[in-house]
Amino acid sequence: MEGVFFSFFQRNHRDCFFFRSWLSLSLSPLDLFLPPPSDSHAETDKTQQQQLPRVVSAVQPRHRPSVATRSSSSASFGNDASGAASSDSDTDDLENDASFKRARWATFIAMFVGYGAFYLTRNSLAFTAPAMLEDKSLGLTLKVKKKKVFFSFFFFLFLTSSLSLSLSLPKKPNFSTFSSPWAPSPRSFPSCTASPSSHPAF
Amino acid sequence: MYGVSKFASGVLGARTHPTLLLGGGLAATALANICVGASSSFPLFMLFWGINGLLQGLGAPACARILTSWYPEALRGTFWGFWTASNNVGGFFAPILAGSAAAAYGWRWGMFAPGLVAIVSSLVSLLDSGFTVFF
Repeated sequence: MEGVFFSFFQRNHRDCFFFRSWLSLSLSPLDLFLPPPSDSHAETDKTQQQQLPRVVSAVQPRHRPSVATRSSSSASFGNDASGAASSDSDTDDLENDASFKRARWATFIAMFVGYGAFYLTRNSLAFTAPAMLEDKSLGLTLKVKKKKVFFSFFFFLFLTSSLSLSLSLPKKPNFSTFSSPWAPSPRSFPSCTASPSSHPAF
Repeated sequence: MYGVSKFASGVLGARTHPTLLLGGGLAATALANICVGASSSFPLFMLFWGINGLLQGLGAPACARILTSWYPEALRGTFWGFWTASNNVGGFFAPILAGSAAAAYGWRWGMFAPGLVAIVSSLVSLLDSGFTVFF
């Protein structure tokens, strides 16, 4: 929590910021001179797309004999379910089925009305509150403490700015505890560490 | 709280019937609104409006699940866009309904009227229970 507040004053972190963003993007000036990535992946994707069944087809004939392959579904769509012709996919049949489309539009309208009505119940208090304040028997009053609102703005400005700085800038490396096989910590060499407590004058 | 409610209802909606969640949640918020209108003390207002706020998150995840299950990928964005207009429509009619009811019949009817309309529309969305996973 201290780091959040004190990073506000530590300007030296700002020097590292651009380097950090450059690292995170993993961009290199050499990338400009490299050839573009090969299209091998794109080609495989294309072949896969051709093999996969097309979900929606606008050019297909409208009245195709549909096959009721989805017996698990609760509603059975397809009035002309004869099982005569084999199709590319089930979804094509569903898209061309009028009863399926009708049921889907009914569901959409139900969804539209239902979610719209959520906003009636959500905003109802905001528009009845003036009438509730006028009713003296409830004893409700609306006091806005302007001074507190004014100063809370600056408080949260400071808080969020220092928070954003501490989140965006890299953490300051603590060399006193840093240790690795190729560079041991200065703590392993007490004679090299300079601190007031270790100074003979103290 | 809205975010917590939305997250919880998203987890719940993946396990239960989303149409039931949408319609039932709407009916529950409508009942909470009517309870706010019926009560006449500040703690009760706080309680019922808090319940209302918790139940507000039930709608969107259920609708998202219905949209993804009914529409293929090519149409999904289009109909998702149509569906997002519904909150604007609701937000348009909320001040008209609640404000005019409160002005005409008192503040209690300002809470009752949206609640009753929401109950009717929850019946609309509950009657259409043909939920099937196609895509």
